[in-house]
Amino acid sequence: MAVSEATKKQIEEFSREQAHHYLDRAELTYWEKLHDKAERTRRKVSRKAARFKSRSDQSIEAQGDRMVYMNDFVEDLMSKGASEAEAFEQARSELVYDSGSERAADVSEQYVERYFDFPGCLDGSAFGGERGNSDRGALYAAIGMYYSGSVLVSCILGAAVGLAVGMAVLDTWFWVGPIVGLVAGAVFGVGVAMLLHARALRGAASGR
Amino acid sequence: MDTHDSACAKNTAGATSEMLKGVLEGMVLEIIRQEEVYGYEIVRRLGALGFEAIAEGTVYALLARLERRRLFVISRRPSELGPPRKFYRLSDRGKKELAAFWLRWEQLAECIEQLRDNKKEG
Repeated sequence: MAVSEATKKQIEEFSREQAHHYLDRAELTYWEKLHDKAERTRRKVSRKAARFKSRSDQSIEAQGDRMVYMNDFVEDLMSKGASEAEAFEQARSELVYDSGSERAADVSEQYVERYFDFPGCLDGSAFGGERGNSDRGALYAAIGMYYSGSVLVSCILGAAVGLAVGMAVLDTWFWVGPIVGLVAGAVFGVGVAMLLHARALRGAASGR
Repeated sequence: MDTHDSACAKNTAGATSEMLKGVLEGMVLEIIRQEEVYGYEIVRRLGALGFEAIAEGTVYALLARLERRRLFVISRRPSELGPPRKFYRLSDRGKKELAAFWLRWEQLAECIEQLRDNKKEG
């Protein structure tokens, strides 16, 4: 039994509104996180802002998932005798985000990931089986090290080269050399770290 | 059904629902192991098995969490609604998680059976 266009629209609107609750904070864009926070405090203002915010692919996908799921639910209720309006209202109340239970489930999963799922814990069998995502913490730590390490090394090299060049070429203005070298080194270091960052993320995404 | 029966059925459903929360993840993984399914189909399968007390919203949220833990391999097929419909299969990680669930279940069931037998003997 297919639902009408008006109900489809309502399902789409509801799904868009609810989708971001089901994403990891890491999967949201900065603007989505900002929006999420603002929504809790000033719902009216954030509703207006939502029209202008950009959306992540994950957010669009979550909305699509919710639409399909809710549509199936509404059709199921209608096939059991509910009117379209009743079915929509029931599906809406059933699928609305329950911050208490969802956050509790997320917190308990994050707890397991953080404390029982690090590489040193092997398969985590002592705590009820393999849990997977703990290498995320190691990945973030590695990315942080890429940035700090490459910026530090590049700054030192840049300053040293700048000093040498300054003393050889600039005479009394020799001190300009290390400053320019330091800035150029920092920029170069960030660039190298970004490339390493991208490589690490690509490796993590492909499971390597 | 009189008021007492209705209240009783509600209580029983509530209690069953509370008990199921701990094992729902394993049940959903097992359904997906048996056959590639889409989200709402899992609710239907659970209903057909007699688990009507499980809320549709609970299953949806659980699927989202399991997906984040990369327990599924997902294939997307076009739906008439517009967005693609996701079909779930177990990933290697999902298979390991399911095997661990059944192991835990067997241990738990054994312990509870033992408790009941002790009570009968006592």
